Amino acid sequence: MIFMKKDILLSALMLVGLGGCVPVEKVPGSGGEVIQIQQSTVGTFHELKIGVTNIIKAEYADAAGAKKQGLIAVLTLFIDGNPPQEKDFKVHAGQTIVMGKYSVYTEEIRGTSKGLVTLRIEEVSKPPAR
Amino acid sequence: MLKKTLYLVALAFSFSYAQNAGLAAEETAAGVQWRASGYTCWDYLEQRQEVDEASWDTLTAAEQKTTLAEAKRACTEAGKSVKLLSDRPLDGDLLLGIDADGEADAKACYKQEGRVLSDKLRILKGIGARRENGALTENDVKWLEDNDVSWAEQYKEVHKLQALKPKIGEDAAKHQKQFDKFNKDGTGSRLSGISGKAGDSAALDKFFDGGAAKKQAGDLTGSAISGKGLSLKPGVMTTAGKSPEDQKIELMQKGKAPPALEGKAPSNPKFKKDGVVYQKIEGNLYATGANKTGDIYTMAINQGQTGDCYFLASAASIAKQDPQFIKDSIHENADGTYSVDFYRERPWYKFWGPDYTKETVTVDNQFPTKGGNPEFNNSKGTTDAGKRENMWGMVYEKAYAKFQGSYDAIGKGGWPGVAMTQITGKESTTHLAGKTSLATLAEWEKKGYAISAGSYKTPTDTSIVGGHAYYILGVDTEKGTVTLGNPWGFKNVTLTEAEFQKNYAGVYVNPIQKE
Repeated sequence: MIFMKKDILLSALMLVGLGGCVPVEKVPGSGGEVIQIQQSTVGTFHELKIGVTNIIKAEYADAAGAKKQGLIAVLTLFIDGNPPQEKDFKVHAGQTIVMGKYSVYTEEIRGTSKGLVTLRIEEVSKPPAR
Repeated sequence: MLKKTLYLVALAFSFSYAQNAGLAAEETAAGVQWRASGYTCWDYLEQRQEVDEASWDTLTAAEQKTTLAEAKRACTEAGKSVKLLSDRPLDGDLLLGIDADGEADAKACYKQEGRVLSDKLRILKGIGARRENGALTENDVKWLEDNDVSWAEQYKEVHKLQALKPKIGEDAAKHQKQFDKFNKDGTGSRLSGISGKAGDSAALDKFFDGGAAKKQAGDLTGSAISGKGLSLKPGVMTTAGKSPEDQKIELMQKGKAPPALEGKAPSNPKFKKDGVVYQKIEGNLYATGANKTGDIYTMAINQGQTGDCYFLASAASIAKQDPQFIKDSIHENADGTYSVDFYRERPWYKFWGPDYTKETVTVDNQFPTKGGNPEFNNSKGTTDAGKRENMWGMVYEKAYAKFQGSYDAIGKGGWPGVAMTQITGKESTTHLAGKTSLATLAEWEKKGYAISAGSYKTPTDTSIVGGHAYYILGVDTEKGTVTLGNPWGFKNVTLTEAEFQKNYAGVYVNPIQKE
């Protein structure tokens, strides 16, 4: 009986361990409002809608220009209006994108399909100088 | 003896004649009969005009004429007042309209009746004052009933309600104590009488006694009671400025309510999301007026932060093909709530009965919001006055959440075919997208069927949302493309047949009510 209990416990721990095998990439940021959006759903910040279209593993270049293999989130930013603005962005953790007056920093990408993206969003007075 | 009797009669007659001698001439001259109806003119003149027999003769003819005219007017008016006593029921309002002069005139002109009138006026004024002060007594009510006063029924009710006032005050204090304890404990399960068990929604109602309290308070201000100064208002029942019902909603929003307080219409379906609270959002179910833009499905279906694309895509596909079906499925109730029809499949263990049974779910206009914006499905469009429109999608989603148990229950993904069946009560069919041609899609669309499609989890085209449900917006067989609507409300895609077959797994078709 004791053996069986241990066996069950071991199985449970294995399942937990497997459950923990979710790829996560995180570059902590600061400022802005933190919004978490699940893949295939839409988050809203003021008039800005952000849809997490896909989370995939792919190669990307980090801020220093070094090529890395990791998680990329395909975000669709949408601002309703006349005409509406809609644009896709492929982002990695630690990347900032700007659309209109909104700055969106990707702090964390977790998982792939049905994964989760953590963003820090804030209004900027004007787009940053290029 | 006879002489003595005749003498006394003559004396009495002469006395009476003498008492009214001054009036007799005028009365005769004017042909007025007012004295004959029983007025005691000398009493009136003495009491109200300080004219007695002695002073009468000192008046000039003109003064006598004026004095008599006034006496006649006053006593005529007093006659009307006294006559009110014979009305049934006694009109309390008219009686209280008699002022002090009128009362004195009546007493002067009509001795007995005048005194009766005066007594009744005094009692009525006392009762009126006690009503104002919330101190009506049973004797007051009894007197009104015994004297058949028009106020009797009304004051009887007022007396009952005034008797409730201390009880309501006690209840309010009791609620405040319970409310404080509830907040202090942070959980309803520690409170006596609230078990926290499934279906125990009545417990919180009982805890706050919201329904009963509201009813009492409402009755007190009801149209049946016009009592001036009646101070019992719904505010009596509030705690910290909030009604028991509002307190209950607030607690449920904060997640402090016992875990199973659902299922009692129109309670709100639950969700687990930090910072998201229920908030009333008012607006029209559909677009109206000249400001109307867009179709009902594109304007009302705008997915938010929950994984119910399968349901929203299904609703949109049905609304696109048969908008009237949606309108027929949502009923606006007189109390501001909405009742929505869904269909429950017969449980597997039941071998009898219909395959699908209609269930109507009632919800109100409170929706999960964060920062004032709907957290889940949202609407687009406003009236010229800025009022929100196209809210049917929000109502439909909330009702579906309630139908399925909670927002959390519907937010973990699902099958569009099942959702379409739950909406229409008609069986859906599922097809492999890889083997579905544009011609077939066009044929289904032409028949008026609702069509939705589910993408692969990892589509080769990353502009297509992975593991997501879409609805068919249109098929262009000439161009060889299909346009799929995204329940997000944006990011629709137009694909060739090959792209469609490569990126989508399933196609779900529902005849709605066509067959």
